[in-house]
Amino acid sequence: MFTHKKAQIEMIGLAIIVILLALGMFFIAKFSLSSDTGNEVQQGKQQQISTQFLNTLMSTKAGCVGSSATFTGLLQEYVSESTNLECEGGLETYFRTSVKSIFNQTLDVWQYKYNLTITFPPQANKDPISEGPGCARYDNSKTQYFFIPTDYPKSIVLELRLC
Amino acid sequence: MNKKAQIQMTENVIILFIFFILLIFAIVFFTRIQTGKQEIKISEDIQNRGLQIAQSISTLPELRCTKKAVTVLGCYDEANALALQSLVEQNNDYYFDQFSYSTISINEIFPEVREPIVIYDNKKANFTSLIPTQLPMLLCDFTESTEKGACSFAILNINVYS
Repeated sequence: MFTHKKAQIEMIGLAIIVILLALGMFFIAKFSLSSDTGNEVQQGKQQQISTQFLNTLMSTKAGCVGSSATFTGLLQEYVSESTNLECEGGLETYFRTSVKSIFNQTLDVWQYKYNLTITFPPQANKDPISEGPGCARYDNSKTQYFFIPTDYPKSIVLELRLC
Repeated sequence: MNKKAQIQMTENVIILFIFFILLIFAIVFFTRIQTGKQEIKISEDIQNRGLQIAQSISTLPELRCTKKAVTVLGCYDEANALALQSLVEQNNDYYFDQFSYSTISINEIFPEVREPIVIYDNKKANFTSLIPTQLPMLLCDFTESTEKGACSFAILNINVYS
C-alpha cells in the first residue's frame, strides 16, 4: 500500500515537471515568434518613400536640351510621337537611363527592392517599360500609382512596387 | 532510519538546487528578451523621430515653395533652403525644439549632382547611435523663368543622434 502511494506521488511529480516544461516551451515559442512580426515604423517609412518617390520623379525636370519639361511631359511627348523634345538618345532611352540613374542613387543605396512599370494606352502602340530588380511574390510591399493624362481616352499608368 | 532521512534530505537539496538553476535560466532568458525588445523600441522611436522631423520640415513655412503667393505642394524652394541656413544659426534655440539632435541636409541628385545644402546641424556629443532617414523630394528653383519653376530630384537626409 505504501509503495503504491509513493508511486502515485512520483507520477504527480513527473506530471508537474512535464506541465512546467510545456509552459516553458510555450513562452519561448511565443516570445521568439512575436519579436519578428510587423515592424510598423518600417512599413510606414516604405509607404512614405513609395508615395513621395513617384510624385517627385514625375515633377522633376527631365533635363532635355533647351527644355524645362518634366518626366511627365516627356512621357506625354513619347506617347503622342511629337518631336518637340530633344533628349539624348531618344525619349525612351533617355527616360530609362535617367530613371536608372535616380534609382542607383536612391532605392539601390537604401537597399530596397522595387519595380517600376509603365503601361501606355493601347491606341499608342507602345510596349510597357519596366525597370528595377523586382520583388519576390511574397515580399511585403507597398504599391503606388501615378496617372498621366494623354490625348487618347486612357492614361499612362505608372506603378511603383517597393519591397 | 537516520541514513534514509539523510538520503531524502540530499534528494530535496538536489531538487531545490536544480529548481533554482532553472529559475536563474528563466530569469536570464526573459531579461535578454526584454533588453532586445527595449533596444528595438528605442530604435523604432528614433526612426519615428526621423519621420516626424521629415513631416515637420515638409510643412515648414521657411522652406515652402510659393509662386505668386500661391503655395506649391510637395516641394522645397532652393533659395529658401539656402536662406534657412543662416536663419537657423541665428535662432538655434527655436529650431532645437523642433529638430533636437540631428543633421538635416538636402542633396540634389538629378539632373545634376550638387553639393548638399546643410540646413541644420546639431550633433550630440558622445552619441551612441545614429539613425538615418532619407526621403525623395523636389527642390525647385523659382528664379528660372519657367511657369512652375525648374525642379530637381533631391533627397532629404535626416540623421537623428541619440
